[in-house]
Amino acid sequence: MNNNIENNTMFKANNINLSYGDKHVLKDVNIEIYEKKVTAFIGPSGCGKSTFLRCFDRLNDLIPDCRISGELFLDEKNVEDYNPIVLRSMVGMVFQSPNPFPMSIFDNVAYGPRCQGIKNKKILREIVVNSLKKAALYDEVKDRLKDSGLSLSGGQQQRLCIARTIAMEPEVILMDEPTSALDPIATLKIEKLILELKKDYSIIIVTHNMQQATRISDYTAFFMLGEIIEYNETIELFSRPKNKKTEDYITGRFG
Amino acid sequence: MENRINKVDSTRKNPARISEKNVKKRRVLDALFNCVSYVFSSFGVCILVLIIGFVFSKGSSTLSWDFITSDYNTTTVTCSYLDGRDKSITYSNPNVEGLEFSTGWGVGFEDSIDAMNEEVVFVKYVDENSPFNNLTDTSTGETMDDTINLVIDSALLKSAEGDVFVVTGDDGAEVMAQQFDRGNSIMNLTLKTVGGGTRASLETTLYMIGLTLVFALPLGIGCAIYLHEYSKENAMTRIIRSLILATAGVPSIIFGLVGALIFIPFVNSVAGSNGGSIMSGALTLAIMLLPIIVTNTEEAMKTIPSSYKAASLALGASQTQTTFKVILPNAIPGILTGTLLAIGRIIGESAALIYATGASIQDTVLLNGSSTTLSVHIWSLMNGQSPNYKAACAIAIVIIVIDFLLNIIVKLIGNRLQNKFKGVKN
Amino acid sequence: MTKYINRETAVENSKKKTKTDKFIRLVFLIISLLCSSSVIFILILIIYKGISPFINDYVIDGIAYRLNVWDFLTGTSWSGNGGTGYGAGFIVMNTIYVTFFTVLLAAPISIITALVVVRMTNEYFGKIIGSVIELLASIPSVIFGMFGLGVITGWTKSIAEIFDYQTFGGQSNLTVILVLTMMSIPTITMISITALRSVNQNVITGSLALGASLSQTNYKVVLKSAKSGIFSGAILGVNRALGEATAVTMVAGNITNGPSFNLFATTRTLTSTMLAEMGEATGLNYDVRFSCGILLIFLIIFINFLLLRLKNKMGTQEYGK
Repeated sequence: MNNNIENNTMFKANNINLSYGDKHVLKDVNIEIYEKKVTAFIGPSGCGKSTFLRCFDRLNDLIPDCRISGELFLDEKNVEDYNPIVLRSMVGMVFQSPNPFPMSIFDNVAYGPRCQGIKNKKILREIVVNSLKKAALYDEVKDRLKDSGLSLSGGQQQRLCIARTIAMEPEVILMDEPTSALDPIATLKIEKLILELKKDYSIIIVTHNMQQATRISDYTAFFMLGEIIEYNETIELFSRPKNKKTEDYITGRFG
Repeated sequence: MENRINKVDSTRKNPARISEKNVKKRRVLDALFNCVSYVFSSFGVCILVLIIGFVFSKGSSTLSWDFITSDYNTTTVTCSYLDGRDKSITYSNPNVEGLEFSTGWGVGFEDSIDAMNEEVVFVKYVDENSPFNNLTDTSTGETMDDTINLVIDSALLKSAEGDVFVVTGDDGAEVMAQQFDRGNSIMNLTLKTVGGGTRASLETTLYMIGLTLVFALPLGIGCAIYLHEYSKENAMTRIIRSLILATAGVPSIIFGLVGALIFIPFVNSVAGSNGGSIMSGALTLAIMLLPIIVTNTEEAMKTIPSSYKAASLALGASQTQTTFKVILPNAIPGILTGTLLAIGRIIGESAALIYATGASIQDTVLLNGSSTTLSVHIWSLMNGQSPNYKAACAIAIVIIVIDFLLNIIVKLIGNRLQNKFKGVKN
Repeated sequence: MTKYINRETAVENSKKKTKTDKFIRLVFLIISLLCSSSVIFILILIIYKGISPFINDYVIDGIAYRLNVWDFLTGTSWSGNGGTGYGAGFIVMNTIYVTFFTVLLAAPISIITALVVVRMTNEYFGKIIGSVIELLASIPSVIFGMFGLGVITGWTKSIAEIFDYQTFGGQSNLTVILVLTMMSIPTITMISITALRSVNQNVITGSLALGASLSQTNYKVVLKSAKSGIFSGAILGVNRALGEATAVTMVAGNITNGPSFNLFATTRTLTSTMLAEMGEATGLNYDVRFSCGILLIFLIIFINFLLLRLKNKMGTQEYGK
């Protein structure tokens, strides 16, 4: 039934409260994210899921006037104590709208390693090829690595963004509604990819699409108005929700 | 009772209460307004046509390759050909129109007008066997073999019989040719370069552009980067932005005054110049043009989707790496636009440079020396008692053509900038 | 999978990178402070040098001279040499006089031209006019000055003859006004075009839907909506006219006594005073130009202040946003 004991904890959040301006966006959020599992955040728009996701790699630091209280631990160490550059090389992010840099496909994937100081052409090429293979994109682009990243289709661009995140060899990959801008076929390809990736990476995915959550995630957290209403194994949450609000949401009564 | 019914009827036929007269009147007014609008707006076209017409009509005859490449000041050289020429040899007239040919010497002269609007006689053709190829420079003793396109000031000739006579440029080319035929040897020949050229001013303009950009680009781009990438929206940032806007509103002559006040002494002590120089002018212009560079660079950076910065940081790049690898390369179209606009301003700037560099036309161009850019050259030509319209208009043609080209290039870059990030949402 | 990214070196590097980040941030901050403080330095330096004629003695031919502030501000004659006779009062009045008529002439032409470019049904015509205006805007002031000296002085002479006036070679108030108008039209037009383009499309459609004709819509609705933007353009035109030095100097004539309000009489502005006979100016003659510079700056600040207040008053009656 419940294999919680076998799971290692990747992230632990204690009483996270976040506000910017006069909006109190996250209220007393507590959660444990487990290693090498896919954890999904679901909930209606504006409930703070994406904001919470950005706490994991401290991208909220970019927002002016953003105040956070509480603790978020990655591997027993507070996220605030990490050097943000190191943290972000361990925790990668894929964004809602594919955003490859206006450079060649090769340079896009090699960007992260180059910033870390890797200059050896052979090594870079190996990293790029491996990352593209892992992102299920290599076969489609292997003859045109010098082409601009923007010349790919939407779905391919998103897989390119996943490839460049993988190139940094992160331990966690955060995904903020990665398929909401893509067509159904591209979406399926990415979902298949996520199921492959979870063998090597812990994945946290924010999604609007409940069916997607049921298809790919092991654990699901239901957010509403900045609070976690329920957090459980996906199968349990969707078949036997413990909270009435959860039940209302997944049966479509609101949201 | 019947009256009331009639009234109701009439309004039903014409519910919007618009009368025929009103419609006609508005149509007439419309046409009138349109007419007035077209007339007023064509003033702009008229002005441009008039200016271009004036400039081209006065200047196109003076504009030539020589005009662009020769010196402003004339240099004079005296030479002689003391051995008598061989009277048995005559040279054939190439029969070019306007050329007055001396068959005895094999030299062709032509009447023309120099940049100062005076009539002069040019040496236009020298036969390859002519003794004119072996004139001796009286000051150096060396052979002068290239006399084409020099102006003859005066010539002291000696005939075979021993008569000595003089012929000057005022006599005209025809008389010149005849007198040369009379003469057997040249006692003294004064030649001078035509002068009035703008080579030095052209060079000065190029140096000024280069030096100004060297100072202005790093400062301007750096300021734009700080404002866009690093600054928070607080009072200090607002003050910086207002100050830069204020800089854009200061008249150029004020920049000239202050530039003369600080930069001339500064450059004098650092680079050994005396008085105004290209360097002091460039420093002054750099400060003046900072707002253009800052604004255009920032505008370009604003078009870069903010998710690029987030993506770069999310991949573990530092802020510095993000700025130089992602933001700056994509801001290059805007930087280029700002640079081209600045170049246009530099070429056209006069008041500030008159103070900060000086307005005397020179022929030697040194970075720590004073010389004129093209616009200041025009000012200098117009400033004296007798303004030289021909030369000034010729330079104006060059400036207007360059401005036109810069305008087109800026437009092209602007179009590219709009389409660059199509498809990447912010 | 082999690991290429070495965690330990990454941690090492990150410390260095963060230090570099802080340093580079400081460098860019200093650069922006330098850039923005230049205007303050300019103000300080002009004032520093410009008050010198009033607090220092200048020795000319053995006699020490010092200018009197009141005489300077209210004087009606400018000798341009020697130790006395530097009265700038009339120059300020002439400057305002010339600028006023320039804007009076240039603003309507520019606004209507902008209307044609943005709103006229014939787009081709509008595009041509737009390009013409942009080209005019890039022509340097010397060329306008040369055109003024060569052509417009001729016009002024002819017009003056009709009224039986003598002109000093055509250099006069009228010529200055015409030249400045030609230079201000591109500035005001380009900003008005931007202002007109940003008028809310709904307002225009609403007016047409009520049965108003195209020109009624243009003049009554569009212009009113773009009022504040157009006014900003006019302010910029005023600034251009106030600050223009080269073109004005070439056609003003630099009269020695004033104020001169006759259209056909020679005139003098602050900028032409600062630029005229620049080459031979030394000592008091040179320093007093900085004093004129102070006057110019304060005149610009004052006029801008008034105009901005006027603009804000107009802005509160705006609608359509």
